[in-house]
Amino acid sequence: MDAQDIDARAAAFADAVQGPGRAWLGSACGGLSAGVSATKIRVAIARAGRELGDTLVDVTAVVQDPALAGVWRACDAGRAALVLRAATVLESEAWLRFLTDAIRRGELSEQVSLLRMLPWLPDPAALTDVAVDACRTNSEPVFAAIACENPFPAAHFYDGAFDQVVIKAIFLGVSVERIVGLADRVTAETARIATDFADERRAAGRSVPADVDLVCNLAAKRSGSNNP
Amino acid sequence: MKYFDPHIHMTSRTTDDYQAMADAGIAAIIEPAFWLGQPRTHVGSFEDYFLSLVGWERFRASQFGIQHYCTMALNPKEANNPDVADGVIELVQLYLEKEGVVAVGEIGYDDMTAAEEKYLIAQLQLAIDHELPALIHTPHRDKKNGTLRTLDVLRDMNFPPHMCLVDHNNEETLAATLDAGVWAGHSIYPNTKMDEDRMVKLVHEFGSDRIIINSAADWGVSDPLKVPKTAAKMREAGIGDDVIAKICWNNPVEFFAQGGRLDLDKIEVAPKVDQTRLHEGNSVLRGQKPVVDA
Repeated sequence: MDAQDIDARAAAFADAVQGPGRAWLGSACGGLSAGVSATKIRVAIARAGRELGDTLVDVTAVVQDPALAGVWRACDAGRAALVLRAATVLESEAWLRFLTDAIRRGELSEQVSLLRMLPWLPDPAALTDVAVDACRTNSEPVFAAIACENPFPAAHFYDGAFDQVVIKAIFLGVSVERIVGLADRVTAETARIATDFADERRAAGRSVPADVDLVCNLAAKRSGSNNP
Repeated sequence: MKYFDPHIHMTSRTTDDYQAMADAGIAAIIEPAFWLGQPRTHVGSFEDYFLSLVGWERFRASQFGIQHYCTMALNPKEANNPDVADGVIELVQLYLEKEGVVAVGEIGYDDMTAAEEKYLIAQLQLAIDHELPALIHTPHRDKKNGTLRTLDVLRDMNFPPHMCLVDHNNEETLAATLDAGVWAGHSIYPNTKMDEDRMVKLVHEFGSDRIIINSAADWGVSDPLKVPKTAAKMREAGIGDDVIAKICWNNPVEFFAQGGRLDLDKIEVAPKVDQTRLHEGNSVLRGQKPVVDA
């Protein structure tokens, strides 16, 4: 993505924010210029929660798929605009450092926004380690932000990491149907982990989530379609 | 009656305390950033503590139906550590922006050193810059002198008195504190500092305007139920429920809402308890049946 593309994308996200927060966002983005400190950007990201709020907004101009766009809050769109704007004024290494830091040291709402926007940032593959690490959270909204309605894991996670997303979703009671690209990434190993988990639940006299069957069927279908 | 404890260090308290507080009618609390009982040696230790104030503690409190807010600052004692002080001030500027933070605090004097004064002034300026109220700790040793010196600093800086809560008052300091036009906090402790009976006397003498009480319960011998207990003593002494409600709810709400971070509608509604929710994968439960409000 060149600087012009990044700017256009930032503007598209900012455009989704209506109401009084819009003026604040315009001013906050404008305030990020060359040599800006990471702290200043992080303050803006923190403030975006209060200034822009939680109402759902229309980001289909960027995200396109309505199913994926449907979870975006105003503060998510605003923070995406800020992070993209930051990418045009920071050197790529400094920007990566700032973003990694912001994800690790965000409070819950900030983390949701930052993980949600990953696929739409420049060079998303460079953020794979940070994204895999973020899946270690057990805070449900933060996990859902990276695992659900988000094409990032299917596009960039190696097999083992993707399997962890699936089993964790089952564990937390998050519907695996919300995992984008599940059918294309499940393997025999994913099915094996899910089946072992089901055995464990049965041995404990507990119910087995229906998602286990769903995962196993998808895995069988995928390996079946690989066989001529 | 519901109660507000605007100065309590829950990081040092167990879930037994949370349950007892909820049972006693405590519906809202403020946890000020302070020291942990022994000195921190890295700026990062402060950051992780700050993160827990806006993360885990807030979540833990919600599991018992208690609304948790916090304040952020470099505390007076650790202002004396040159290895961390400036780094922490930088962090504070960022963490004052986080959700759930209602004021700058605790700031003030501990031993009355030059370093403490420097960072008290710097953080009062941060309060002005961020348009937040300030929670000021007064020293437990040489308290009268420390309180008067604090009031001098506030006056010299033209710090707006209505935005300032000077805490840990006693019989020796309250008159001067109230004369300065600031709010006056009182920490009710089992054996030291202020107690319930003496607090009742102060209310009889000075009334309830700008009077706030708290437990300041922490890692030492202290009691997280001191606010409802003091309310009970006030009732016994014939003080009316309207006065008690003013001291134990309306006053702290009014003071801390001044920064615009405490939602006046939300604070009146008890959060729904849902102990099946997890935070960072950790439940507060260890095998009990989760409480879920309908």
